Amino acid sequence: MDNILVWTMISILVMVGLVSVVGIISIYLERKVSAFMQDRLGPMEVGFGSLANAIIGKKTFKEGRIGLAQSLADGLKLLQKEDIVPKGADVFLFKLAPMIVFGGTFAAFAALPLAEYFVPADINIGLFYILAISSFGVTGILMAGWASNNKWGLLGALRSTAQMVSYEIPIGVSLISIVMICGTLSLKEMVLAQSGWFWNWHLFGAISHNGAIGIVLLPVMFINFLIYFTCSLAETNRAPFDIPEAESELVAGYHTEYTGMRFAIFFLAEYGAIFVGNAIAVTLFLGGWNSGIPMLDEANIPGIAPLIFITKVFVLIFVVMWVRWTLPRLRVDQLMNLCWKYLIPFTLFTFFYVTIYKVFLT
Amino acid sequence: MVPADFVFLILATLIVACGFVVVFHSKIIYSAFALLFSFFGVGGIYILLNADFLAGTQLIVYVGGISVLILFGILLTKKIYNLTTEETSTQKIIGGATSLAFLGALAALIFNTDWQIVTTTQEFTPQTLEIGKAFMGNFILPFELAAILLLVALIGAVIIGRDEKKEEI
Repeated sequence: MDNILVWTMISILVMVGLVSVVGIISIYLERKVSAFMQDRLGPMEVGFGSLANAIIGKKTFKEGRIGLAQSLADGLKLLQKEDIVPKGADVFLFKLAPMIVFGGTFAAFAALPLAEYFVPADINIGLFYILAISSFGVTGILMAGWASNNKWGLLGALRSTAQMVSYEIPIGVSLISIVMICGTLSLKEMVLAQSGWFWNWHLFGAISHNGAIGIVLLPVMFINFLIYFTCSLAETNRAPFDIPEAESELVAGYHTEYTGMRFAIFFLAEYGAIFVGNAIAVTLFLGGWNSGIPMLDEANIPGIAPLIFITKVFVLIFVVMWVRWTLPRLRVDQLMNLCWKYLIPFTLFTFFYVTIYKVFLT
Repeated sequence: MVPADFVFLILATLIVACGFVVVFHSKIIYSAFALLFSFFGVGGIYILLNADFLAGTQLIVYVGGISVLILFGILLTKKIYNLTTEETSTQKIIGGATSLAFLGALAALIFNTDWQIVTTTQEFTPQTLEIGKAFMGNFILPFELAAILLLVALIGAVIIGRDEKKEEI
């Protein structure tokens, strides 16, 4: 009993650390990536040295030139900012909303399989749990939009919710294919099924399950992966699906009225949600903590499994940012067309294909 | 008191307190959000009862679906910021008497039932497999009927929601 308690405490602490570090690194990456894509330099001045110099008031440390501590400095700034609640706002719901949004995202972190020996909550319906608990974010966003007493906030919240609810369908159907192949909802077992060479990853079909015949699933798995990735962009309100926060129309969407730390919590939750979405993609399609080369996995280098997992997730996060700074925003009707006329029929097709494969070829 | 009892007490308090807010709060939006947390608490009770899949379904369907639908309904209404439920209690005596009688009947039922208490020390077993077998085995007919019903509802919603000009005959 005590062991379980200690283990739970350690897991919670590690995950709190992970979610904050992920937020800080993602924001820094976003600024740098966007800058390089627009032929700028991005944050340059605030390195760890400059930050330390600013705190002690003397020029003791060498100043960096790539702005590594920019997000940290931003965090310090946001902590000190005044916490403003608008006059007409509903105070209770206004204060509760960021907690719910962040709580939903953070609860999803609990089931992420970072390594075979480190799954904070190894529940047998892990995938289902993450999809279910993420729906809390939707409610929090609606709450934030309503409580702000602001038209832009409310419109942004409604758009965001409509988008998230619609895109949950293709996500669910595209993930069911993997669940059918694996015969389990446990994220840990799904990753274990993909160990060995990288062609065992579900992105390349079901080779680890059924041998060479599994290669016939390769095309549909690619489609599934693309659809899942697209939908996870929409789920997290990222460009090109960022009409909930369209700056030119809605100021900032549902968090227009939020300032200081509450605003930062929304941001943290958003980057946390991006991490969770891509972590599911890595777990289900890209082999989770497996490096793809059996010799490397068998070498038992301590701590390499979580490192591989997080690296893979950050590669996908880089793609997310790449997409954001490359593609223009979709209109509302285009958004719904894409979901209902393209993504859902395609996922239904892949679902059908995998069913036929499962019934006749295995 | 084992930890499970403690968790149960927290969840039960959450459910009942939120239930009170749903019924008595004058702002309808508070009622909607309280309903959501009440659903969440019920999901927690399912977990305590070892029904993991049911708890997940509760979250997806009620928290992510029904509650959001209700909230959407409220948020799309006109003049949402001052929307309050009107309380017209014209028949206080009859209403109160009926409620008390119903409460008494429920209480009598609860105390007179011979509850079969199962020991909770047994190992936790995943329910997903059993549920799947039940759906595809003994309960295939209701399962398929529900699927057809949902399909009909889906097509119906699309037809009602179509915004096309009627063709002139």
